[in-house]
Amino acid sequence: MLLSTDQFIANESFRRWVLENNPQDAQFWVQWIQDHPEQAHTVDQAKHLLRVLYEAFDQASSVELEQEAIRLEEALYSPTVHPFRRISIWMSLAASLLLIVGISWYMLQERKPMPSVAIVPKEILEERVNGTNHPLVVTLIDGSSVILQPKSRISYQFSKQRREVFLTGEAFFEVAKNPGRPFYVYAEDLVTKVLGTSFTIKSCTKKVEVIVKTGRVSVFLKQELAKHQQDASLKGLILTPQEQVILQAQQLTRHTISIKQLSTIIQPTSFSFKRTPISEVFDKLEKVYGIKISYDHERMKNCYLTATLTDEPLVEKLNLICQTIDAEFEQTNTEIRIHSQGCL
Amino acid sequence: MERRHNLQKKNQHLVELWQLAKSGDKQAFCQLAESQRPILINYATSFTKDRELSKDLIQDLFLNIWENRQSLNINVVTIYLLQALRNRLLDHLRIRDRVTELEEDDAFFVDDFVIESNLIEEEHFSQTRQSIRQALAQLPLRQQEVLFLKFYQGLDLERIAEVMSISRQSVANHQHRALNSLKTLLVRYALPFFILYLIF
Repeated sequence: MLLSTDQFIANESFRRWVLENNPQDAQFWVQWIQDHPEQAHTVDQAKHLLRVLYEAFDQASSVELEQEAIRLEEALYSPTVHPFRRISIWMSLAASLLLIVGISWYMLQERKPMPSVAIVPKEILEERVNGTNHPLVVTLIDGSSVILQPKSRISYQFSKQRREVFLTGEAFFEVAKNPGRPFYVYAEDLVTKVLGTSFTIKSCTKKVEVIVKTGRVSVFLKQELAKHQQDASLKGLILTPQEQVILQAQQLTRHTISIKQLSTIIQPTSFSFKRTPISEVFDKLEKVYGIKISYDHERMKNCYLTATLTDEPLVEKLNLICQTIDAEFEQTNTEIRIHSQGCL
Repeated sequence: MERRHNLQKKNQHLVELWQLAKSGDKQAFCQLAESQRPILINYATSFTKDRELSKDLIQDLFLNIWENRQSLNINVVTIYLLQALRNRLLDHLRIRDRVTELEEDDAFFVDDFVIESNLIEEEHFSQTRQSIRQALAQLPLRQQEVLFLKFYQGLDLERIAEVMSISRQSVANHQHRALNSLKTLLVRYALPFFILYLIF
């Protein structure tokens, strides 16, 4: 009895083999094909057809899926405040979503007999150093925020084509989305290119760790940088949510980490508010960003906020808050000042 | 083959999540939704290229199911969702386009939207995939739907007929015509290697 292409395409095990490369199914089918050589052509046909058409239909991007997942959660958990149409508009304002990607790179001792030096930029750059023992927030001119940890330093230069930051130590980045000007972070031998995400980079002498909380990141080694810049189709290593890559002894291994595990590693603070008094909201911002916010407590005592602001750069968070409570903010060198008539 | 058994296993898990959701477990419901969402978004492209509309209708569908969870009985989760989404899409598009649907013929729905390109997605497009998608998009929508349910979702003739509320024979006809049309269209894109596989 000869099986038809149709029958293969509808078979779960066959599909798992072709689409997911499942090892048990692979074992079965490789053997089966050996035992039924007369079907080899049909199998081949089915395989090819299935793969090509499946990929053609597979259009939902992981970014979209996360966006919609959050949208549903919002609607389920706070139904009275956000009618879903408004969420839809809000989502298009939000620059980033909850994709979590982790990468760890290990620098090999043998390859680096000297202490490694970060790529030295040629022009004069803006530089910020955190010599204090608490986090320091740096706002870049494109609206991105960098939370610089103690004993860390960043220097940065923005040109028309790109935004570049050089990091020593540890920092948490909230990058404003701008596809026309990709954001590069250079830390040790690792270059991270981002389009609009939030992530943490820790660079120590032996190990560079990039943990991306939202968005998508492509990573490559410093020595490959020139190659990548010339050939735009080279994407470096792109990771999907919950994956971690370790470079060790020149071998790349991929791991999966649970979302729970990752959420304890980076920014355990969430900015999710439900009818929260505005004083609490500002207190939280002050604590996480290490800034001072001054506002009229008496006038604003009736102001409450219901919103989820995680992963926005600080400036964007302030914008969203002020829009919601109908206020304005002003940024000076030493503090943020909120102007408001109060809330009804 | 153990086809039925595996379908049941997958569905078993989904039904468990659904039972939890019915008793008020929001997280279980969200998990259920997350697992089915890619299927639904991709399914909707056989009806309209308006991505935002598809996503809105899917959101509507999930919220509606949640609100009515206690009185709803779902046996085969994916089939139920596909049917429910299908109805919503057709209702919405019917009102929008004032076109009556004829199942036996290859009915066309007027669809003004160009295939949306997501900036991030484009980075990963290969030339071949792009061509196949363009070719697929030119097929009558019912044919696209059959190909989707068959290749992407792996449904057999009976299940496809169930989702589309048409006869098995109609499904077979749509499929036959779809693959023939694809063959013709792909000549244009000069993908002879692929056409070879369509000859069966």
